[in-house]
Amino acid sequence: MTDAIALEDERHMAEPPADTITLRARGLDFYYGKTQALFGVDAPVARNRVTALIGPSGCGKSTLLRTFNRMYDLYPGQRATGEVTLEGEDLLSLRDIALLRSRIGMVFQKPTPFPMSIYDNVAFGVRLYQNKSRRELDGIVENALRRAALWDEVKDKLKASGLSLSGGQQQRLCVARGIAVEPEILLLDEPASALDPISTAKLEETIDQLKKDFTIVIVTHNLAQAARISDYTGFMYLGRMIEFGPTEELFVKPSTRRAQDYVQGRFG
Amino acid sequence: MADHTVKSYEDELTALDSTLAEMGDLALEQVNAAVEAISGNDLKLARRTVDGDARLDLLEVRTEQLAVRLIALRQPLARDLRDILAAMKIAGNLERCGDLAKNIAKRALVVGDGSPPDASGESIRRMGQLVAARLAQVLAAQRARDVDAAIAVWRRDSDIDELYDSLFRELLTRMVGDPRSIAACAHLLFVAKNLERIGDHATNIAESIHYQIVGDPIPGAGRPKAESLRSPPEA
Repeated sequence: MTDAIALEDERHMAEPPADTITLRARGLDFYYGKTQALFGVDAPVARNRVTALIGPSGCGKSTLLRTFNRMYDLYPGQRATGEVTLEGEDLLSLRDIALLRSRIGMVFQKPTPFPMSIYDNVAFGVRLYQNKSRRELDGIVENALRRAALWDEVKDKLKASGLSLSGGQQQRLCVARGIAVEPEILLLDEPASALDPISTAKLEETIDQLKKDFTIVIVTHNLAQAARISDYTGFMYLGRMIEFGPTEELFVKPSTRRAQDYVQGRFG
Repeated sequence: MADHTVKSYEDELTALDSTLAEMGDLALEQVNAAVEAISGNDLKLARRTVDGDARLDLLEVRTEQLAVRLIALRQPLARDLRDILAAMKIAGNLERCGDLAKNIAKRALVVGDGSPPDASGESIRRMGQLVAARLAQVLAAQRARDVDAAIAVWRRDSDIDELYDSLFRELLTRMVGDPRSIAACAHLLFVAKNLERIGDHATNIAESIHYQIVGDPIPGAGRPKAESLRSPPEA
């Protein structure tokens, strides 16, 4: 047995223990009009863990993320078939999308604060779904900003516009806004790619702390970041889930040749 | 396996590999020379061997520099990471082999008087050649990235230990029988021990190769030692 050893060619799935899986895609196909973008994707997301999705541009990782909270519903011609479940409940046929979006929050690559005060940004979603007193709302906003590691920086200027913050702060404001409604799942689509190293580190620390209360799925181009903060990693290629498993395994001892080539930077 | 997209990364890995290969060749040369010097009472060869160790030390430093640079600047992952870690460990093993060879050569300078080799010298030569062959085997396995060959070296560890054991008894017997030989034999005991240690390093290198290629330690890597020290036979 020489160097051409051990690596499976096609696919390798090392799932988290079954009783820890909260969000799951199974045999998921996705179409942009006539073009198929996801092919039979399996993605088991474990509760209170960070799951990273990595892969080259166009591999389908953002598409997969957007099926979790039915973002594609906004666009005609986009459809998903197969199975996506949250705590066993089928999401693809769910009717109350607004309620779904309160259970699954999303933070995007480009910070998207609403053109309103910092306070109102965070309170917005809560006001939509819940009837809280002013005092309760104050508490919720403070709690969310604390957990997003932003409170100390904005506590004296909650009335200031969300747009007046720096990029890194805006992104953490979006995280605060996302968690204020206490979702079960937080989806992060390349949340740090527009941020400087210090802001990135603060965001990563925030994510580390948040996973105690939330389940997090993060799409990232940054392999080192995926390695730093995730517990599980899924590597995708051309719309397929190629390898999935504990992060340490994928980055130290991958099982498939494609995943190994990708993480090593040998993608021709 | 495709090359790295960034060519300079590929070049740096190649440089690490060639430095390690150079270390392997030199370490093997030093061991062979030391064995010949002590068993053949060759003082000139002993002197050259002692001087030759410095280059091996330099190569180890160079290997470490290349490895640290790669880790810091490239954030290597998966097989690349294991290759680099294995290279660092193996370089350490080879540098120790060089030190042990130098020590043997130094003792040759103390013990040797230019006279023809005797029976003990022959025993030392036999053990030395076995050890050198084992080291050569494992270095070839490393170059060929051959896990099976590495495992074969790892398994055969006990025959060197057994030879050491019998050499130990032989030297003790000789010392008991001829007290004038005690000084020389004491040195030869150390030489035999050094050779046994070189054999251990070859086994360690085999373990590193396995980890490098397979990604797991050899199962059962807490290997049993065959060496047993018994007291000398009564005079």
